[in-house]
Amino acid sequence: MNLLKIGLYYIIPLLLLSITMAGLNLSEESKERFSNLFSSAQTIVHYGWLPFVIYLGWSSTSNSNKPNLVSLLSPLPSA
Amino acid sequence: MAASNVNIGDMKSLSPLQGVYPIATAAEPGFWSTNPVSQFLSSVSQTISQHRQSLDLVNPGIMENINKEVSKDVFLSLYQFTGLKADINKTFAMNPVFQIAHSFAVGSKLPAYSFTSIIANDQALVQGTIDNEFSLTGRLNYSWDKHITSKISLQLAQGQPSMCQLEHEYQANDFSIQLKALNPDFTGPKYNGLLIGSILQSITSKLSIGMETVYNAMDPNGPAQAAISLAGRYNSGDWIASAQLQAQGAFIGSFWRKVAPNLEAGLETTIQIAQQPVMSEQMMMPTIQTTVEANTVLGAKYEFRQAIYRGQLESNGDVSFMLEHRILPTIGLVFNGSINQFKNTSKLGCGIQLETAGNEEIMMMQNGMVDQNGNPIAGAPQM
Repeated sequence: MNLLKIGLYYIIPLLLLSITMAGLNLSEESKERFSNLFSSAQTIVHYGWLPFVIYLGWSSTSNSNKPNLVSLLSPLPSA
Repeated sequence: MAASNVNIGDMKSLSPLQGVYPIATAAEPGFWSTNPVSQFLSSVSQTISQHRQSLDLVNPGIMENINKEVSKDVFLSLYQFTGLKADINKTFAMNPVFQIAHSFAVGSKLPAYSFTSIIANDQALVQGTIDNEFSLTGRLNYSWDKHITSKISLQLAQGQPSMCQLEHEYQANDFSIQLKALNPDFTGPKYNGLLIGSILQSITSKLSIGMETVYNAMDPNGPAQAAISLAGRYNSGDWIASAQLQAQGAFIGSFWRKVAPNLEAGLETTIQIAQQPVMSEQMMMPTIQTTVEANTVLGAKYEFRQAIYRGQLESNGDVSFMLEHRILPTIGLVFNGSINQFKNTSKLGCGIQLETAGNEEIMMMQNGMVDQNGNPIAGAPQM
């Protein structure tokens, strides 16, 4: 869960930054740069979110019971 | 801000609701704490906070849940589905809960296959679902402490506009504030997106009233719209009544009652008043006509040790029921049906839910042989 907390500490300043940008009239070039940034961030989140959740869960299980990749993904009981 | 010994960034200790008032702490007497104006202000705010404490108010819950007991608990509309459904949940750990679910569905609007992963403990919840068309639904809830919660939800799909919702909740001792932003975009010359702010305040230990403001600037070309809704809720222990007056001209009244220890009943009426342009024949020009639509739903929920029955009667003719039954600790069945004799339509859904385990310990727990701490339960069946 520490990983999560660190992640949140990055997200909130980013949001505050985007709020402070509200009054700025950005040039076309920087607008395009922002939209590129957002679309690549979106792609990263789209394909990275689920692996991230699985990794968080996997790392939180106790050491003696760390499931392997097959048992993580298969619906069959592994006990 | 009368007390000078409070850090401005420390919002929690500024609040008069925490039971710890900053004035009580011994501070060095300086200009800001000894001048008559700030002394007067602090004594006034201290009196107000003491009076508030003496009222014995409780947190009213958030605005979203104002009629939760009726529309989310008793009514089955949220849980209804058509066709066949199978869910296989695999649990790997209990603290924090780590679960993976595979869902299959046939003949319904649900995706044919979806994969979910959840990890949750008291402080945080992270969830992700991806379906066979690669559309992702993500959710992240994080409680900073027992009063403050932040939530992020995401919906990303290929070839469709994405959705991102940021939510922040503050649940104090006698009121709740909720702030929401849907698809916020600050990069343009003006704000783009949807903002919702709501507050619900307890007036007495049973009655609470609230207000919700929606600022809608989703359309970048059109003008932004703002709307205010009002709500009230009366919670008398075994019955709860709530009323909402929404800005678009809708009135929602709901009533919930615990009839017996295992029986709850709910009633909800929606009256929608709208103004629609209608072509009148004499004048050949559109005139505005006021239309009133109303809908009432009556529902009941029986809760037994291994089954939940829900039944629901709607004034438009829909009769629905839902049965959830746990046959074994690890196998559950869901059956729901809905029929409308006036419109001649019907819906039917059947689902199975399997719980499997990722390791032996969890499997023993699921079969009721050991408890949460791994201690054997007396009289449990042997493997």
